[in-house]
Amino acid sequence: MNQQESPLETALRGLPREEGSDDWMDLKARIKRRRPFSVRLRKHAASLRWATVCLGILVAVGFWQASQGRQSAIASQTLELRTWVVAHDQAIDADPFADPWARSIAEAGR
Amino acid sequence: MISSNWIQWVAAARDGDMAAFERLYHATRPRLHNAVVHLAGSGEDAKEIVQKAFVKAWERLPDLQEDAAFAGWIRRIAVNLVRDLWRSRKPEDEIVDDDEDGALEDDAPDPSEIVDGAIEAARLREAVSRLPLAFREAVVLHYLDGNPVDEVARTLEVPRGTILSRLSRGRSRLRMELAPYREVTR
Repeated sequence: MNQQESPLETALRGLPREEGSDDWMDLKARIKRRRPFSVRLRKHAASLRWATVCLGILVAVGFWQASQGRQSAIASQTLELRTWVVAHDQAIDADPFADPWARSIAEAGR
Repeated sequence: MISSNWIQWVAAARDGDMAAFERLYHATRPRLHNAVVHLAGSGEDAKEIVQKAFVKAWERLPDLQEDAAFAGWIRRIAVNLVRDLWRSRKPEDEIVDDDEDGALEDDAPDPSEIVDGAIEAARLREAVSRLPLAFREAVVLHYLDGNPVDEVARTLEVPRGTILSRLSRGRSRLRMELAPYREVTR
């Protein structure tokens, strides 16, 4: 690479600067007009956090209640099944041929 | 040059401190305007683009990863706005082939050696404004705005070699533009 600058490069670097003028009031007005949702949100960050926590608690309570309902449904189904098995066992004890399966096995063995 | 104050102002502005953003605006706007005016071609367009760039910067400050990189970041925003303006006005701008043979050859005669200084600045500025946008971006950001080649490459998001090629070809174009003037001034 050529280390020494050409006169053209020197002339380019030497062009007078054009800095324009500040217009902060205009910029401020533009920003206020277009303030994005995220910036407005920042102002209400604390209340938003509370709302999120409350919502989280509500959702958790809802899940807990739903799971309780499911557990009691399973428990009642389990109890019903157990009652049926006990009744079946007692019936078999009283009369082995009361069970159609046991009867067919006994008949096949004869 | 990065002032340590800038970093504090950027951090404060990110938290919504408008006063800090105002200080940042006053500190960084003049140099940004100088670059944009040569890219956009007119003072009015440059002012509008600079204001828009600061509005975008305010909105996107939470996305800025490194506070010290604010100047380069807002320059990139401004360059993109210039490109949008350029596309809306000249949709069929000359396509630049960075890999063209001879892109790095730079041995043409230099007319700026012989032209009168006062006229040279106006002619040179006009010649720069007529460069294809890709060459103009490289020339303006490197020579007129004083950024190193690597910084220009980061701003324009192209490899370093591409910037060197665009600078070389930009200089050749400028020499071609200024050549007739050279004859007149002899």
